[in-house]
Amino acid sequence: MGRNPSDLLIFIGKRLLQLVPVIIGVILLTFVFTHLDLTNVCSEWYTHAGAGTIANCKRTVDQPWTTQLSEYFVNLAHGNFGATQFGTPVGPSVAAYLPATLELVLAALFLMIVVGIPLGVVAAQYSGRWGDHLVRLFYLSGWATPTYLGAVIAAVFLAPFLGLPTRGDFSTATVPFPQYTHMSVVDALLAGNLPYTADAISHLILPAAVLAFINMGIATRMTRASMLEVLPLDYVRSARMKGLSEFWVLYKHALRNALITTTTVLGITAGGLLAGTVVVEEVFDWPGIGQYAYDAIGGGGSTPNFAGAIAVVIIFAIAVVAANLIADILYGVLDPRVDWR
Amino acid sequence: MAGPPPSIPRRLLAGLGVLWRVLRSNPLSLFGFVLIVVIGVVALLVVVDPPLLVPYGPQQLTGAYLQGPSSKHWFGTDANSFDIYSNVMLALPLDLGIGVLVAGTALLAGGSLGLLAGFFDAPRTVGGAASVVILRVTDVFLSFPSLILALALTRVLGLGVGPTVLAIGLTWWPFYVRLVRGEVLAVKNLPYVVAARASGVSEWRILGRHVLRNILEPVVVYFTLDIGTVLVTYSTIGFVGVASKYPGPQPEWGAMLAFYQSSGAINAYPWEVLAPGAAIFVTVFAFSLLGDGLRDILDPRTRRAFVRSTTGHEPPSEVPAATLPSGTVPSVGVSPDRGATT
Amino acid sequence: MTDPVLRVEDLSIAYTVGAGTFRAVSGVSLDLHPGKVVGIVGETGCGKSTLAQAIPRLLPEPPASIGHGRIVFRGTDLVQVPKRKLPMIRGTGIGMIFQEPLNSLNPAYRVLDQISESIRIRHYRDMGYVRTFVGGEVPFDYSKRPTATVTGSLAKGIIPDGALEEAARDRLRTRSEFRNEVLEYLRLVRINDPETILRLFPHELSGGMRQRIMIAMALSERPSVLIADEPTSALDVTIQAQVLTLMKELIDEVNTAVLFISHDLGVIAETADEVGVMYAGRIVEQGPVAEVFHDPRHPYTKALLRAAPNRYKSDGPLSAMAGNVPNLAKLPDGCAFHPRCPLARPACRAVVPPLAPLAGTSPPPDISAHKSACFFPDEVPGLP
Repeated sequence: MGRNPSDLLIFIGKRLLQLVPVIIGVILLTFVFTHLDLTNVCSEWYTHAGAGTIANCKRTVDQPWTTQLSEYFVNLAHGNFGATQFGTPVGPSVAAYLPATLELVLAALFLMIVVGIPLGVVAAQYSGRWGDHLVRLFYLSGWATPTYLGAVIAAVFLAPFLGLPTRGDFSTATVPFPQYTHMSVVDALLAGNLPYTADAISHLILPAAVLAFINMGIATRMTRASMLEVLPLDYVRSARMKGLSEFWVLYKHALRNALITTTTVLGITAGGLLAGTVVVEEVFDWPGIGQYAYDAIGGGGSTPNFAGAIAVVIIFAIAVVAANLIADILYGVLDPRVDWR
Repeated sequence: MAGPPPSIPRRLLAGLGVLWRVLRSNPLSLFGFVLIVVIGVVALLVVVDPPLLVPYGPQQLTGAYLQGPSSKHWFGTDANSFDIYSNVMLALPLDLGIGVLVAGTALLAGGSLGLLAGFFDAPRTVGGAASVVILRVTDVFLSFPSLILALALTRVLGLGVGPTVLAIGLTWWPFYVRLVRGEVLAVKNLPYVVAARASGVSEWRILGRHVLRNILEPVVVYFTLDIGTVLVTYSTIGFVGVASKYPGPQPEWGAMLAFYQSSGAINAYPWEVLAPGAAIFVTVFAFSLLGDGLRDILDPRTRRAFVRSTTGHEPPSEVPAATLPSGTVPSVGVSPDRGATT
Repeated sequence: MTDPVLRVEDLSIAYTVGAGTFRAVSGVSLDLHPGKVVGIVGETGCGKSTLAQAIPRLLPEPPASIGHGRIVFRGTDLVQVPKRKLPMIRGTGIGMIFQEPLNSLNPAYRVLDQISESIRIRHYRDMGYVRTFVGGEVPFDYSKRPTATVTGSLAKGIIPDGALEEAARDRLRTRSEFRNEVLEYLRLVRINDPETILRLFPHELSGGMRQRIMIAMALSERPSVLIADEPTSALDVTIQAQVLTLMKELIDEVNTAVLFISHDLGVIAETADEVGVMYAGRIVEQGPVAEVFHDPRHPYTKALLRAAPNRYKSDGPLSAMAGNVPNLAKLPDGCAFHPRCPLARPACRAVVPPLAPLAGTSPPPDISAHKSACFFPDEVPGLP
């Protein structure tokens, strides 16, 4: 009896295997979209994976679709996401922009967890009363705020009021330390440079808060719902009867169980957070993949970059799948009733 | 839910009764409901009789430049001397219509696929094979953040309102597949459905009479919430600047906001941005308030608390799942969250 | 004669449901003395579980509300204690073993964590910490109670002499010390191989095992009063017997005051010193368990005994009691039992008979005299 840590590897392995068809499907789908109208694509953009030049693109069009598909897969497998119309390969740029977005999304996720989950507990605790209504008002207003509106309001009206910067990840164009991870806060911390760490955090906080506010609803709602399910249960009563204060009854005994279901929805929020970066990074000039996507799609009248857009779509889809995988594994770890074998 | 389902009018009445109970017990939802009715009536009036509510045309020069809100220009004017209030009002039917249209189409398309995938899922049948295919494709679609996929699709489909709506619609249906299928699976093995089947009622009749009717409520509630989400997504695409042109004959909130934001000087003329922003916020908020309250009675997690709060007594306790079978991950329940898509 | 550690005086509890109100408990008085077991017996819905949960103020208020009466625990009326301070009397003051062993343990924590949490609560309170690691605040007016007297013989069996004093000197114990104490308690409840059980989650344990863990958890706080609410009802008959034997042994060892709630007359007969028979929220007969069961002086008790399958004698077929358990929302006037009572007379329909001591009985110390809430207690022995 009991769970064997080595079984966890089997558990994770099984989950990974289940992802393979989904990933293949994702790539197939992007293939269909990119090759729907190839002639048009060739004339407008240097396009899909592997087609570096117009000549290449035209050559590809003449091939049977099976060849095109296999080339597409091979190119993607080699990290070749195609090139922009100026011949710049997309892959390296995307890779360079990715860490900053990861940092932003993780910071937002952190805020969602430390603010959104306790709010859900409060709402459940005062279910049907004003505490509950206020929390719902809060998360529903996040829900109803389009990301661009939240970002613009935060950047234009909130930032001067709070004295926070709204552009970029550092106040200076260059930083006096090597950027190993390309995550501003992490790099500054690694360099042991506290002033720059503070600077990086002050840059990060507003965009992360906007993303968190807008996506918080799901975490809060699910925490509230699970807490309402858990609170009438017998073991909560036994915890109370042990002599624990209400705080520990709620946060140690009830929330620990409610979190099991909340984790699963945190995976779902990955999609919302990533999609949100497109607008948030643009408004806050955050040097991440969201801003790259905004430009690649032709946002704000910029020159579209089709290969870049498709690369971002693929990467975001894989990120969503990965987030759900992590949530799934966390679920298996958090709920002792899940058998790993 | 033992016993046979009651007749349609009675169910409708019961549904209205439930709606009333939710609204009465939840002031926020009541507020949302009233707000939706008001917004709907206003949108209708704008379409039917524009001069009643819209004093100026979308690109009518009023001669007043960059004026703040006044009794003449409720939301002020912009640098072109266009009346912002009129533009906001003219955008309402379009944004609301897109919300209802896309969510509705997705509901019909995704819902029917979900119904098929859930109901005819017996292995080794044509239906079973089809449902496997449907579910796999759905999984793939669900892996994309809707906004990103829709944005990329507008690159393939072209710019403008029509292609954008199509792009959103293409990314929107899979969610309803999962929602409806989950509901169907939960309903189709209920004792009375099994009893109906045992007594020789045809499959199609069971689908129509029993299953469809039972999954209606959660789907409609989800639909309510979803109208707001579509609206936000559309206006975000508008904000990125690939859906609608502003200023133009048909204004749209996202594009308006993007235009005024990029024209700079929002600090000096905040009404330019705040007016369309507030419009979209209030509209989506209304749907969220109603939908969130309605979901409380449909989510098994919160239903008990809801019954407690409205009737004051404890509903009969359900047997808690003692152990979960190996590797089971609970589905997100009857009311999964799409998540904020933008 | 000692002072009762817990005294329930004329307690009434009502539930508000929608527009209506019904009384689940009316005018119940009880004294709990250290080392004595008071049993409460009655049919489902007679208010005995409400009573059990009302004593540590565990009932959700609302819908429940304490109409009048007092619950005096060590000189403090718990009815007057603000909600915020209630955790202080729970666990170490009043402990409880619940009806549902299946759901009363937190599924997310290992056995070790759940029992050691209880031990920690007690330990920190003994240390006199006002704010503790887990467990809210220290009991208010008995925070300085000498551990030795309360724990009494229990401590003797498990903890070496002087260990408590030593524990009081060092302020923080190490994890392994807590772990060792958990092991002691697991052995106390006769669990074989406690080292393995420690690491398990509740869902990996059988029902009887879980109930033992519950008992160990409650005992590990060394409560002055232990409330056992149908502790064995959810178990299989064989396991029920084992757990019951264990509880009897532990009660003898632990010298706490016990309130034992059960619908099973046999269980009460075996464990309790004193018994109160509840009907429709009232105690209708009370007294030393042997006296009440062998010489019932209330027609309800008599009927209950006749209806119960008796494991010692088999005189004739079982008989079902006539009539139904009354609806607490619509209690009849007068004695609630009169619609089902063979002795009912006009007086019974008009006035609620008081719970009055019977003449000529002399109870043992710390046990209530034999009382009956019937106008005609002397006619009861003549009933079939």
